[in-house]
Amino acid sequence: MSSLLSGQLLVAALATGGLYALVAVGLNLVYGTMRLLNVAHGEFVMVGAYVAFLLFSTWQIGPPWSLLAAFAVATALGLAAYRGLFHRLLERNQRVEANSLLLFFAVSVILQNVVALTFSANERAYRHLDGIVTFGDVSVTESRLLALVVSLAVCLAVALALRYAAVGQAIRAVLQNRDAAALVGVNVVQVQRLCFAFGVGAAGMAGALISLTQGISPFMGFPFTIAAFVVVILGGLGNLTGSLVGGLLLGFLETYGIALTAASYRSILLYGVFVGVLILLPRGLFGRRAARR
Amino acid sequence: MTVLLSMELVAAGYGDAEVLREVSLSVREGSITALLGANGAGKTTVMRVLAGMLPPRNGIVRFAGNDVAGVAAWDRVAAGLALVPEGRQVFADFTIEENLRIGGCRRPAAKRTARLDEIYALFPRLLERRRQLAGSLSGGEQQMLALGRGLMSEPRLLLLDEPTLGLAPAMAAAVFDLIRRIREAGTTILIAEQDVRTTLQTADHAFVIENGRNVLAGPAAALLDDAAVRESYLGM
Ligand SMILES: Nc1ncnc2c1ncn2[C@@H]1O[C@H](COP(=O)(O)OP(=O)(O)OP(=O)(O)O)[C@@H](O)[C@H]1O
Ligand SMILES: [Mg+2]
Repeated sequence: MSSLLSGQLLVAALATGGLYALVAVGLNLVYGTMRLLNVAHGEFVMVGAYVAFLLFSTWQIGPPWSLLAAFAVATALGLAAYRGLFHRLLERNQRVEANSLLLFFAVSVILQNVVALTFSANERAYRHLDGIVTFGDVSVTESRLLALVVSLAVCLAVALALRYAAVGQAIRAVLQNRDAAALVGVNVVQVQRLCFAFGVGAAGMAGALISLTQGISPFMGFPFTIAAFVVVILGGLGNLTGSLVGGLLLGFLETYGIALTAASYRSILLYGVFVGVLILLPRGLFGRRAARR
Repeated sequence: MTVLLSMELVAAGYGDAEVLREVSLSVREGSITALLGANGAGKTTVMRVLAGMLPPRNGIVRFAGNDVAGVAAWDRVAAGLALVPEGRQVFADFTIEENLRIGGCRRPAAKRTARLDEIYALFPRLLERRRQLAGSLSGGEQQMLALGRGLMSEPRLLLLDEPTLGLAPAMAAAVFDLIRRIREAGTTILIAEQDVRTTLQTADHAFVIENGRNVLAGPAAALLDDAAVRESYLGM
């Protein structure tokens, strides 16, 4: 039991949770402001991971540049998809959720297969920032520490911007009531485009961080899509602070769950939490009411 | 007086539902103009078209002399056209003050703060509760907040869609009082209302629509005396 109280496990849980939160915040922003169900969200994580992998294996470029590049590439891809597919869907404004699900599913399959064709379906990995940092009795690899610090810092910055910046207020207004936001003068389309770009960009950045700590493959995205949906449902649709808390919570559940069982239980834990949350807490931990239009 | 807003032969609807077939109206600068009609006549639809929330299928909307087709709702706010929508639509998770401030999001920051004081002077109750979440306000308080939020943009023209819906008579009377004061302060008003009598007593001019078409129009006082209006809308 004493191992469960170790700082080691705590840091691992925080790192996993921070990454989940970072991925989920993007998904929630996209759903909350546009009602788009991005089931390709994990594929943007995967794209970011490949960007970081290629930069390092070709030119030995690592963080911070690889993180920014992953963000930029995922954002560019996302904006292209927005312009080509989703902007029209939003303008027509009919069956947005169902249609977006199908469109994103197509995007997901296309991204997986393009990456698999270009770089093969084999798992890839690289070694960078694998030195060990020790504080007291906690030893942690530099890469894991970086993932923890960067993901929590970005999440904190998002929370502060939403609370205090003018653009954050505009986003929160759109999250609460899109029509009312337009009627007070918020440029809703601009807010939506920004949230889309940032949402998938954050997923890409998370992918770059993940590539430092584990092997990557064209099909690595799906568990992150599922994790992000679990977090968003846990924290509440449209509730971004909820996603931060939910992300950390899922990181703890997974890390301590594995510590109590075995690594092979990871998927069972993840999907188990998914089903459990949907059945027991369909409105999330803090769900006062369902997100409204 | 010059015409500030006009809508000419507008048709509009949702999907297959054709709601407005041919509606025309004009609002003179400095006036209070009423838009009347039974439930489902299309008053809210007119308001949505004017505010830029629903593109018309036909016809022209002009504001301050310009055709505003293709001007997004948020840019109409910046141009001086604000709608206080039916059902209040306040931001429930924002405080009163956040709701008011975002109402002025298209104004320079300095003007917004000055305007906030004016709004609080108009609605002392909102000042008392400025840190309270809007979702926890009573219906009447939310209506005050929605009005205040609309006024924060310092509109030239304020569109009010049923501002007294669901309010107790005393509260409704207070809202009409306020509408007169807003006009005296220089804001033109177009109001859609259920309370036909009080609306006609407050307004200068009125338009009545039915099934998406104009049926009556004229000075409010004349409509108040009109036998057809008395029978269909005042039940006398
Ligand atoms: N989003 C919508 N989709 C389909 N039909 C709609 C929609 N909104 C309104 N309608 C229909 O359009 C017609 C006019 O509605 P509108 O809300 O403009 O009437 P109104 O005059 O404001 O009525 P009320 O006095 O009840 O507010 C109604 O028959 C209504 O059913
Ligand atoms: Mg109405």
